[in-house]
Amino acid sequence: MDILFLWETFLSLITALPLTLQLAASAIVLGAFLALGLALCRLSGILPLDWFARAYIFAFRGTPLLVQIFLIYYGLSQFRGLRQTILWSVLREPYWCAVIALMLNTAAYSSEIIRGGLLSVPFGQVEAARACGMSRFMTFRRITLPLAIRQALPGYSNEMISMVKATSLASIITIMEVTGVAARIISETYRAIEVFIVAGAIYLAINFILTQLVAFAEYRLSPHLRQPAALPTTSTGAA
Amino acid sequence: MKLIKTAIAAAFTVVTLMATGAAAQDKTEIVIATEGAFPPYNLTRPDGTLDGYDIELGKNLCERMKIKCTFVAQAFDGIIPALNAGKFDAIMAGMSATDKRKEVIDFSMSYGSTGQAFATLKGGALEKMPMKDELFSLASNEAGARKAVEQLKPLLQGKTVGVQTASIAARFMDEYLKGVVQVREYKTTEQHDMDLVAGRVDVVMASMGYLMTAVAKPTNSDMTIVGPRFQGGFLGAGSSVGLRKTDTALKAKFDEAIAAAKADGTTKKLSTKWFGFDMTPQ
Amino acid sequence: MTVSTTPAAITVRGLRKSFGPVEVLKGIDMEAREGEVVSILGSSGSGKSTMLRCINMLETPDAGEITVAGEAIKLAPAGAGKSKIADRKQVERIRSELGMVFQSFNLWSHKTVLENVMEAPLHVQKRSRAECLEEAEALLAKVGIADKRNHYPAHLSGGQQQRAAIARALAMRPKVMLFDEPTSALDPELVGEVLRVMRALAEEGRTMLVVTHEMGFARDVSSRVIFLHQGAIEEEGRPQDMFTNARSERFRKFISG
Repeated sequence: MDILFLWETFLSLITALPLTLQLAASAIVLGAFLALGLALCRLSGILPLDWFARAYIFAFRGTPLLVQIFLIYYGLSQFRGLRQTILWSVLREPYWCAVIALMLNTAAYSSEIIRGGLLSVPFGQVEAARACGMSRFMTFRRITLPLAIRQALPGYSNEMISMVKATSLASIITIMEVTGVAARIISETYRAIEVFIVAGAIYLAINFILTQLVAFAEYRLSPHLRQPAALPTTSTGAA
Repeated sequence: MKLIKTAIAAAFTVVTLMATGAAAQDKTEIVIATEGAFPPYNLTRPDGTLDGYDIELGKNLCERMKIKCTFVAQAFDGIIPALNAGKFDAIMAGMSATDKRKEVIDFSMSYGSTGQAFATLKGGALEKMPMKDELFSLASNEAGARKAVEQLKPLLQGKTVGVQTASIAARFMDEYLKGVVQVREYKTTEQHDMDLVAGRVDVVMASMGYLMTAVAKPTNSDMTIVGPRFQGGFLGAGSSVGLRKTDTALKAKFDEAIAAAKADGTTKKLSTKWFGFDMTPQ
Repeated sequence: MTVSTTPAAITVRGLRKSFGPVEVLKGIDMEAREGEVVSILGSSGSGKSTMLRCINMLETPDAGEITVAGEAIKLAPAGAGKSKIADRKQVERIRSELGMVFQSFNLWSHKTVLENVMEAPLHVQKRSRAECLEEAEALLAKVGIADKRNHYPAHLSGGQQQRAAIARALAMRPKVMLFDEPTSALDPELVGEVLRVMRALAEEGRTMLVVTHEMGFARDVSSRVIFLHQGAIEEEGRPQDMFTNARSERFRKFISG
């Protein structure tokens, strides 16, 4: 294998890394808020909201992300009317179309993960919060959500990893992220195997770091699930 | 057991063929790859069958060569590696024989040449691009071509140009208009047309033959061909059949068949049918 | 009936509650005066827990009036014979004046014992951190688990968890403490440590409503006993009268076994 070529390819691909990370981070952060909203709609007990969330999740989980990106980028631009509106200043840009598509997609998956986390919160702990006089919002923010996040984190980390990889689909709407640049190098050099090996290694490295970060977050957020020996304590006392 | 033995034997044969290339002499059946999304060179009918100038001419050439041909569709950006990997035996995809490509594969003689042209929106700032329909060769008149580009630069300054990834139009932008225009690369030419109509790009560059049919589509009624055309040099002498470097005998057969098709007016007849003008290479 | 001169801490009038077709409370009238320890007894299904949970609106009554320290909780009709909370802010404020201890402790599992105790004073009552910390530590010492302050609930025994839950309820400086079967989920050997804490609170003169199965506590600690049967008060009175000379045949049967 041609080490020099691999190195040069790496140097080219790494210039596209910020764009890949930016796409993934924007989609994950924006998607998380949308996902929380959808999960709350599902759990609201208000039928129209529940149905809306169900339909949304069904549509976005049931269709390929590639199709969604295509429809948002090329599909929406077919409407002359839309091109006259303020929305067009966002939808005109391939970058924002990609972020929107990725965000809408990840929200569908994440909302089910978050819903599972919310459902796992023991009702007694919620009731204890209400009995203290906490408002619904404060109960949600201080008790329900923290417990739900701890429960949902392992599943959610899978979704984040999927999103990092899914950014590669943005190349089909002219975005030159890592895979887009890889495709261009391949078309110039016709050395698909080497270029894809380097590109694959870059995604692997991103996801390795991401996995470590999530594991660290899980460790920090779950002292209550570890042995008390790990806790800062002055004396152990009689159990 | 027998089946496995046969399969192993077949695999060995393929490996040997690819290694020596010599055994390709007696091919009676070949698979030809096309894109199926580059009309009128090649296109996919609603029923899924492939059609277009490449396909119709290819069938004609195969008859002349007395070889049984099958056409398959393949994405353009992976088509050359796939040829070398042995997925098929020839490419007829409106592909220009460029120097860069010649480093990796071989080409037959050209079976059609239209040059690269610009298209923009009617009523747009670029509609009045000068030098309309003038043809500049990067090979025989490089100075003239450069002068033409210099004339276009002030007009194209800061504009967004759509080209197909890995196409010669992309190379043209890189060599002649780098830093002047913003280039956006698309998987297919149809996609850059959609973005031209939507207003995401200001101008596209693609083969004249392709643009002729593109502007004729009802959805592209706002699109119009403008400015000069360029050909030759890295833009290639024109569309040629792409072949593995080892398949020398097949290349000879294609060359012979193309020469015959040019001589008896087949290329003229077919290109007029598909493009509306005779694009038989001179 | 105990003759008491202190003002009423909690008054319940005409309290009704149904779950589906089952009428759990059939019009309860009761009162707890300041400093009283009222034990609420009854077999399972008698409605005693539901009555307690109606007082801080963890269950919304269908009808009736509940008054806490002279303030009536506002209810609005919700149709089909039901009611709903009319003023959520009022209910939240009144809840913060009532300390609730649950059968299953319900400590917040992601917070340490100290954080559990400080949570409501700090975030609901918005008192200063220093004050909350000082008071929380004193309360943990009082219930005898000061050394467990940095432990998480999962690492405590049931008795320790319930004592932490009592400290959590006390931290809000409640006017009344509500205990919902506080020892029913505990192993028998751990019941004593929780009852000792409750007895100490009673001796301080705290107002307490205790739903319990602990006959010893009801007889020795409470100032008054209420016996519920099928959603209605069957008998109530001073423990010394009730346990030696009950009028109700059912209560005599209940305490004998």
